[in-house]
Amino acid sequence: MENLSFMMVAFSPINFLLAVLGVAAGIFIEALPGLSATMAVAVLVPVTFGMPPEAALIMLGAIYTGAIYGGSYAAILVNTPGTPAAIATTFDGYPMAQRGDGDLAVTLSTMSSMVGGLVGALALLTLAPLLAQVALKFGSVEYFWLAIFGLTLISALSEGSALKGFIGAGLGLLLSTVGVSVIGADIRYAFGSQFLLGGVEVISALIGLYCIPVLIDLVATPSAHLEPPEEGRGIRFGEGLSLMWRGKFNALRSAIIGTAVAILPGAGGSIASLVSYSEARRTSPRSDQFGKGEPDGVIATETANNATVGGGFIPTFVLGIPGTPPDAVILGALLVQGFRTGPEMFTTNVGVTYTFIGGLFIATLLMLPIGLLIGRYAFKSIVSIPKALLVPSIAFMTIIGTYAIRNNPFDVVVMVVLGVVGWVLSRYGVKPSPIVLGLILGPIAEQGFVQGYLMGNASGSVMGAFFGRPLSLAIIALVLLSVLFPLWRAWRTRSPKETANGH
Amino acid sequence: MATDHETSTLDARPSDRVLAVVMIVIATGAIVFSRDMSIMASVFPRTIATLLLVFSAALLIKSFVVHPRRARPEPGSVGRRLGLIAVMLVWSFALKWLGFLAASLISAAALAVLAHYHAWTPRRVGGYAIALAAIIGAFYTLFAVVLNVPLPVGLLWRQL
Repeated sequence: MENLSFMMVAFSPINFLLAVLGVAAGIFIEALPGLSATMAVAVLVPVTFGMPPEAALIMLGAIYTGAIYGGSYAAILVNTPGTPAAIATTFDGYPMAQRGDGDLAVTLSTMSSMVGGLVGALALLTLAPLLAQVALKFGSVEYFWLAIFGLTLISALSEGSALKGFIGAGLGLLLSTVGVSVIGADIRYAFGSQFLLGGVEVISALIGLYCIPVLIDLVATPSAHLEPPEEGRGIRFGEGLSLMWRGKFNALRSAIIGTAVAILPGAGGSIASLVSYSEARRTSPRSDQFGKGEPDGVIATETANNATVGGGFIPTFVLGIPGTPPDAVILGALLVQGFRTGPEMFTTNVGVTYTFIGGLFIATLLMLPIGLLIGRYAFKSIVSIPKALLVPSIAFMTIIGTYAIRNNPFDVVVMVVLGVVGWVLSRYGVKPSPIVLGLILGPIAEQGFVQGYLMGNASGSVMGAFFGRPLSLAIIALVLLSVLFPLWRAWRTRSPKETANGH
Repeated sequence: MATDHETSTLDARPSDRVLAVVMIVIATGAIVFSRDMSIMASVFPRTIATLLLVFSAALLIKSFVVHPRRARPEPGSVGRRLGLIAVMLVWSFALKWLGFLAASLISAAALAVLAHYHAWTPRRVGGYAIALAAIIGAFYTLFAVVLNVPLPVGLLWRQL
């Protein structure tokens, strides 16, 4: 009952207004060509620093919710997914648009996103407190292994080579050690610079790593602009509603798949939507219509990718391990606000957590009217914004946002330098997510590691401290699984080729 | 004849070797510079640097054993990319000296020129200038006035 009253705080006029602004801003940024949901959250995080924690979280959750949904416009109307989570939406959304049903596909996508978002938020509301009870049993060594699990999983599941993912994670962990040490208060890798004493600021780093590479590639070509879509016939709400009713089991199944995939740290909306799309096609009586403009295809992918929003917050809040890359940004924002994620989110900070969950429900419901209106009336204008305005505006937001975190011009320099490094590394196959996660989880991992090391030394067995408890062993088994899975996957994809070559 | 797969990807061996060597240098540097730290402060970075060393060595060996391929990088103008990096770096250093507003207006104008591929007409210049000034002005007001962030005024203007 008390938790319900915390949730009701989200309905205060100011929180409601922030949810409206957040959803609209998320949809707007995501509808812009080349910008991802992670970037939408990253670039707007500093705006929330002056707000009370619950208001800041509501706005960030709303931006994320709007951004994941907003990626579907370009996927449906111009066959260009605004976010990786919307890749599978192009499969049937664009064929629908080609035959003149683009407006119906957008309405279906909006309704599906709302259903998925609500199921994900419901899972967060019901599952997270239960898991937090389990997390209370974790000691420092378990937190160390959990951090390693999150890192190996995101490295293994991120695009490209798993080995490069591990290298990125290692680099991020090393970057997190710059400055005064967590235990012992030694000065590390500062090279005499007083600016580096405070370490690499997490939000500056992730703004740089996620936003600067996008800007560098935006100016490189004139062609990233999307062709404005043809005019649609309207919102077609009634038709959408009847198709949603017909596909209700598909929507529910996809929402559950999306939530479950997002609980797995590192696996984001793109995996969720692809898995639910293939399940929808497998079980549909109209499976031969998939890929040719089947509305159930749009329902499956859009329900699943928005379910990842609530689902991804479960490991983020309970374990401090982000479920998806935008969760990593929100985790960074939580750290800046002075929160320590973990079971504390459901004990000491229970008010903030439940107000945020209430805000997530509001944002998801708001997506329906705001999304339909923007999709119908504003998308054409948004994609027509010229790059000569887009690039300097985003660059300005990254600069002012980074400066505002600690009022420190050096953070801006670090942001730009890390952004350039991130762009170069990305061309060499090292993606930004493992680096960012290493940077965020570094202090948690180090604290657990050093405490385990000290306990092991005191008890005479360092190995016993790290490998002696059943909970630790269970997490180590998951770490091994996440490391071995990509090797098995690579072996499986290679062996048929070798067999074919052999014949 | 090149296959589709070959044209959409590149031989990753040279780039993997460069990446592995750079990472080996960084990891070795992290181990060397941790010598003067206490055991408690050095045990974690040393462990991570050792793991980084192992992964990088594995990448290096892999580049000699198998023939990895990587996605072809996005094409586009190298000059404009370098121009954007230069403007962003100068912008970040100029905040302290020129102040937030002046540095941002000049840099934003430079970025607009870099990102624009068509002919400039007086109408377009005027329209873009007004739009950019409005966006910068709105966010400057949001941070400086509403969120009370003390944005730098600029050492240069103070000396004048």
